Amino acid sequence: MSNPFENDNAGYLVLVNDENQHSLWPVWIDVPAGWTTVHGEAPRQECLEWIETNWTDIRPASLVAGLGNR
Amino acid sequence: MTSHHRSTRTAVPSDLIEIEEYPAMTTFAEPAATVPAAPASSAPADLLARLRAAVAAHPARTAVHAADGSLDFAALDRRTAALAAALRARGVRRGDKVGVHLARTLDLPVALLAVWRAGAAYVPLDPAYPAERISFMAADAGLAAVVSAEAAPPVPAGVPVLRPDAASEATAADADDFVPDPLDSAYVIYTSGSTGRPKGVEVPHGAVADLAAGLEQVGAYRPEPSVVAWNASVSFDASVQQWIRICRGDTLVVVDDARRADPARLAALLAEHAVTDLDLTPSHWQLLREQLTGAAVPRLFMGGEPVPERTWRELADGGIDAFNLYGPTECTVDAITAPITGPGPHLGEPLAGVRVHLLDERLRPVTGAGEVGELYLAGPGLAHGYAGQPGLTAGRFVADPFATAPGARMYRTGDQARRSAEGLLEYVGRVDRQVKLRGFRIELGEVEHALAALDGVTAAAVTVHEPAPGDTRLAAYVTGPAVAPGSTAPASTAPAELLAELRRTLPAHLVPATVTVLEAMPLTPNGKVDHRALPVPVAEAAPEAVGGGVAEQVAEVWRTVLGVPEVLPADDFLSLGGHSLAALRVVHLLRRKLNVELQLRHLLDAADLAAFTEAVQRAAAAGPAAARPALTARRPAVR
Repeated sequence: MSNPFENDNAGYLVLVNDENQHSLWPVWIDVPAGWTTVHGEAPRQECLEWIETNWTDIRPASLVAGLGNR
Repeated sequence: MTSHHRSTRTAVPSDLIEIEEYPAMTTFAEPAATVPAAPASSAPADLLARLRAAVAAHPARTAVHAADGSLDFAALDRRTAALAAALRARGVRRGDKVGVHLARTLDLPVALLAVWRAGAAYVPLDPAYPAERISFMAADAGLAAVVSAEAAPPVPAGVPVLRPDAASEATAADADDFVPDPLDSAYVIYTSGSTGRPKGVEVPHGAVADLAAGLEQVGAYRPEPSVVAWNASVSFDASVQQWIRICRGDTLVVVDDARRADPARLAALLAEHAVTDLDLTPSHWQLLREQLTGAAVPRLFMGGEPVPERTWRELADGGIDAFNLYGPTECTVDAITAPITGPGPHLGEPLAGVRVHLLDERLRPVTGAGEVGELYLAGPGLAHGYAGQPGLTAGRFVADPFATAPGARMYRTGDQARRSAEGLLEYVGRVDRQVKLRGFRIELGEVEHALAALDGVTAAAVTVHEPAPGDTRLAAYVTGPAVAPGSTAPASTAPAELLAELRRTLPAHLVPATVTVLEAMPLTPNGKVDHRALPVPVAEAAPEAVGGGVAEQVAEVWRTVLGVPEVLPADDFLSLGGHSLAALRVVHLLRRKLNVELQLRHLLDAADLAAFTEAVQRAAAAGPAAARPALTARRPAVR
């Protein structure tokens, strides 16, 4: 059984929710409700690099906002 | 209450020690309730609020016992308030992370709670870890401060270091009590990372409060006040469900390292404090159970690795009060629990708020009995993710197509499971190369990366070797100029040097037992390392009959058990990778070889091989051992 998030030869999306949490997502599976595509379709590694560049704090956006600029 | 264990046994290899029938055990008598049960609530109170309630309700009850003393709830409150105020005075604020670099003393729970009261998340920095590992974690987590009993712990320059008894000009009352939002981070605990970089799992307060509430709801945490052994290292998240009990008003017994590694002393500690709740791995239970024969057995919380079928049946048939706990660090300690009863091992049912999905490779639910799928977990118990590692986080904490609330995430565990015909959820294995050894979560890739980073190593592979059932170790294989036949270094010393190098960077549980030098790695047809074609580790084959005096026989047993080609008089057993199971084997082998009355503490108390050898020589001079009943632990007797 292969995992749909681990295929280096497949296409992926980058999804984001309201808390600015990011998710890698296989392009061949429907995007779940509450998530928006912000990158892709692209190869897996490219999606991961895009996430590294564009999602700098993994904590929920509402928490980060409440902490001010810390 | 007593009951007899089953007497039927499955066949086992002849080199395993076993007794015919386990003696009866008694379960622990439940203490009388003295405080009402925590009220059921839809939104669990945060743990700091619960601690305040416990302090107000019974200030004189003992909160913590440790090797260095005890604290009642009033004293715990004063000390944590003082340290929290000192942390704030040094600039620690809500959202910060604070390293806790302390041994298992009274100071440890004080520091963890003080970090919370200051509004920050704690990051455990085990003083027993290599300095390089501690300084990596400290830098990676971006610590705002460190609490340490040492003047100069190995943390980046400029990070304030506070002693655990630090106080500030401000009085404790000035440290207004922090009320965490459920999303505020509570801790960051590092786990092994397959790419060679450890992963800091960042967990929010709400998830920890949910864990406590969930375990109360299934009855694992009893409503009445309990006495809870804190057995797990604070570096691992099993410790969370142990130490947070203090916030409910339970009494915590901090198990120090010496008692933890010695079953007889641990059993004595459990009796001394009338411990009612004990969390441990099935491997640790195998060491301890003999010592608890005829004694009051606390309620057991078993996690960290699958409970073997034999252990499950022994506990279930014996009427021992025990729970199986399953959950990755990423889902806040425990996600699925089962009372250990019935015919055989299974994971159980999700805690309140946890949703479990068994999915196929297209994320479709697996519904057929016996059909294997991968476990995905969802709900408010999920961690925020891996601190500072967004790509890794986004690949493991993924969009949840099954959630009723839009935008929810689920964690893909990498664990395979199936539903039995009876509907029981059963653990099957891993989809990747993560392994559990004695409860330690290990990415084989991390050990391979660490080996391959050493000078002169071209390629490295690491597998799990099981020379006897239940005795699992890491076996490493290397190729490269530094270790090749014909290099200037003698081939026999190269593995020892590589292991010594690894011990400078990796915690003991990640250091292989053996390193085998190969001419070339065996490869699969598509050019990857063929792990199944790797040979049996070289250092495993030790001759049975050994000549020479006591010193040589002791050294030989160390080499055999530790799987190292050479030991020196100044070598320390634990730093050579020895663990409690290995220690028990050493003592057992020497009892047999030399017919001496030897105790585990002789080994654990000895500073090095020379000191242990002296202890063995004294024991040998004292005369032969009395006949001993056979051990119940299933360990290899002879190698």
